[in-house]
Amino acid sequence: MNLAVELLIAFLLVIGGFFILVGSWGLARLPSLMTRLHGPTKATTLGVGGCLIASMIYFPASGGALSAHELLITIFLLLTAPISANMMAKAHLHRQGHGIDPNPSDDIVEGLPAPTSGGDWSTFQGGSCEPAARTPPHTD
Amino acid sequence: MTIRFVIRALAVLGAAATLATCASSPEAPHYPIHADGPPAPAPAQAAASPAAPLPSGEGERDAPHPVSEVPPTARAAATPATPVRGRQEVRGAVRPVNDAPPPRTVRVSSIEGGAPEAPTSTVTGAAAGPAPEAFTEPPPPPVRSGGAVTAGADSGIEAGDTVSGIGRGFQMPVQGSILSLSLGFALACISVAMLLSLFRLVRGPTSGDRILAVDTLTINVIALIMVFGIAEATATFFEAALLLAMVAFVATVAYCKFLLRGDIIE
Repeated sequence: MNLAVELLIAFLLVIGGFFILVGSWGLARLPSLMTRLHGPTKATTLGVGGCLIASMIYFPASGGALSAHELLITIFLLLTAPISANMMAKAHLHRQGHGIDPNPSDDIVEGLPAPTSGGDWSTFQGGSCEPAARTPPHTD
Repeated sequence: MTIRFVIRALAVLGAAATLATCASSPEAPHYPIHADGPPAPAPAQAAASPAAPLPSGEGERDAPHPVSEVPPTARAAATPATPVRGRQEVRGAVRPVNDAPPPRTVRVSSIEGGAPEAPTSTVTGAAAGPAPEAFTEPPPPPVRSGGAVTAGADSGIEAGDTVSGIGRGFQMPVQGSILSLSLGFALACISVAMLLSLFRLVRGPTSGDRILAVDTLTINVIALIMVFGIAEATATFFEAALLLAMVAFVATVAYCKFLLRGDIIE
């Protein structure tokens, strides 16, 4: 294997491992869920992307065939990480807004304050409120 | 409190079971190939071979043997084999399939007759293969006199070989190279990251923290699988990583939906 390719793979592996470690360190270290969401959804995704790209370079360089599996995993992770982060943030907002499961680090004990624009935080109401009542009417 | 107690009890039980398993791991069992010595040649073979020579395929097809020469086991199969050709076969189609004549390549009476004959060489050009070489004693292993004896030096294990040896088609990362060092670094980082995620999973005060920890743990496992695939030089684990990515996303969304609505499928 070429030395330059080997150096590139090693660099990508080191970067990937470092960012994965940073992401999980942030998950363990940061105080509240809204801050903890930053670590895994950004750093860890980047780290996994680095490892996958290293694998994608390694196998054709070492005599194998180029496979699209790593690219598939990378695209899938990059697509699904924001969605799952959004879902988790939404669930967290919902539970905080209803006073369930408060995190003392958030300084929120008795629910979220009402949003200034009226309506509700973009979470479900659990059937107690009609969706049409929450959405502002169209002005055009 | 009870959940915490159950978790602690499970952890203690798991650690105890792991220790007991590791401590009581037996040696590799030695299974005898032959229970009591090598098997003696079957006496039926020696008795049947000179008495009833096996009919060859050509002789059975063209010149049917007299009934007295055919062994009784072969007679039952050879008797329906007589109207093989001609129009009688059409009429004989009403017979059960089991009475159909056996293919020509099968020796009819070779079931109790003993071992089949030696396979002839089918190599084109050479009519018969070279004569089998006589068994010669392999040379004794070289005796090392003096110097340090390295364990496993004669076993063919070379630097860069992996434990499983799945991916022989690829070039292994040679141990001590920069690629091997970076692989070790990445594996160590991912392992520590998994421990940190596990800490958040156990500790996390809210349910969202635990969901996030499970999601991060799965992403770490995906990275671990990929790096391990590079270290083992095998492309076998890609599907596992892909499936894990898909299932992790679905599981995270399902957990969050459950937290949001109290139900997953409404």
